[in-house]
Amino acid sequence: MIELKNVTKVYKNGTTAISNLNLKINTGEICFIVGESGAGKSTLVKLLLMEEKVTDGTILVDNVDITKLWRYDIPYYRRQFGVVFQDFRLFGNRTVYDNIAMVMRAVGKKHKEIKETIPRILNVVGLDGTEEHLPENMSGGEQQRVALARALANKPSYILADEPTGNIDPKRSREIMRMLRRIHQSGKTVIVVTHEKHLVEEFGGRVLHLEKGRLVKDETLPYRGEVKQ
Amino acid sequence: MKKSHTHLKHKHNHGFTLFYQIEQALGGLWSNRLMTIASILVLSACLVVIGSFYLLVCNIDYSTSDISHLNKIIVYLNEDYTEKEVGTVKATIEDMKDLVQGVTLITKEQALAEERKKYEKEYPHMFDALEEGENPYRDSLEITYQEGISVKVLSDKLTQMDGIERVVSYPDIADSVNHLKTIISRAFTAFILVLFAVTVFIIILTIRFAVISRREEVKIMRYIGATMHFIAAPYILEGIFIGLFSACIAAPIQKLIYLHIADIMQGAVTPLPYSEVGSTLLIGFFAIGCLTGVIGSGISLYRYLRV
Repeated sequence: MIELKNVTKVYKNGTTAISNLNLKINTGEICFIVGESGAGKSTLVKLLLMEEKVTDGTILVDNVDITKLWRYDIPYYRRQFGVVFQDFRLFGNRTVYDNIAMVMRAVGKKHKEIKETIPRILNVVGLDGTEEHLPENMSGGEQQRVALARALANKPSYILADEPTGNIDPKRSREIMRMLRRIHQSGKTVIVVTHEKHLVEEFGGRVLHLEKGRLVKDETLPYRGEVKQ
Repeated sequence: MKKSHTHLKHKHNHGFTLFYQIEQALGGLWSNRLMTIASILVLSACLVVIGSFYLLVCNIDYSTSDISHLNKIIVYLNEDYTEKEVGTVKATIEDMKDLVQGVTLITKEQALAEERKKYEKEYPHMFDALEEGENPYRDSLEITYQEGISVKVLSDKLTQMDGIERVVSYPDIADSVNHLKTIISRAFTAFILVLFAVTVFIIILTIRFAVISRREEVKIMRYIGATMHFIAAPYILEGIFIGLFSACIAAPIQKLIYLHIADIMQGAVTPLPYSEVGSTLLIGFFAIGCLTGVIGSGISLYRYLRV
């Protein structure tokens, strides 16, 4: 469970990105965070990943107050999250295998386990047999699926997708969203930050609307399946 | 109920695999090979300069190690003194049995003959300007003094004696040489520190270049929960490898240079055999090389690894 209590974030230049935000994301939920540019979505992601510190308030993740974490603990905390970014953030000059293997090595997984896990994960995201491919030679949709595979590699508790469909075409966007839905159905808590409201309406789930750093609406939309064009 | 944060540490291990990190480090050196080669060459040159200074100080020590043990004073006599008068002065000094062990007369003819012999090979015409019978040297007395006496007391007595123009004692010379050695050692130390700073700076530039070119990679690694050790290890190892490669290049070059110079200097001085300092120098090169690499890498990475 993720809980934000009276969280405020003011940057050094005086900009208030988040103001007195209170929200709770339950374990096993699929949750969309939507809002226009400047609503505070990216700041929320940074706070959750401890890339930025709160100015005020508390963030509890699985009952641990992350605002009080020592610097040494931060890498271990981040391992609870599998993160997917809008710009994929893959190592372009390394194979798909190496991209996924690196995150597993970073947490101390042995070679044998890595070798067994990667084909399985690639199967989940529909990229069987692409271990030796270079991401830079793959389409945007495929790259995002590699990123998703990497996010899943260490079996994190949470999947945090920051504008995962921002750089891909509508058809592939739906594929990614379907995958995220499937991941949610497997028991993970999935948080998707997006400005693409049509996808949110199509795929349903809990929707948190942010506006100028505040939560203005909290609703749950039903899953409507594929929307015919 | 809020749990302690310490449970996070024990959930996962540190993820450090030495073989993997070495592989990453060597890969990193190869991908920035131009900068790597430049760093190795500069660091090798710095090591050779450091080594040369070290060998210079060792040779000074080696050449002057006996001087402090010589218990002799040389006195130069009035050039107008006759043979008889010189004999009188000699006898007077020999009578100071509580201070003096023995006195040897070196006539001006003997002095000239010794100098001719010393330089005739290299400078055969050095004394051609002297006319028949002309001799620039003076009669001198080589005084061996008793152990444990005050050399200053003896020197003062000799200075006050008639017929003695100048008193030169080896302890004075040894003091001067020791003083010179101290100055050279301090200059050497200061120079070494400057060179060390320069080499660290070169390593900083190399590693920083590598880190900058891979800063996106470093950022991604931080997001996925890689520890600072896991991220930094390849770069630290890169610095160490640069140091080791530099030491491997500098050591044989240093030896070649030293043996060549020792060959040239053979007639004038007896150089310290390389075998007596070679191992120490080699260990020093590796140690300085590795230390420079680690410090340089650490400084480069610090800014980029702050969580």
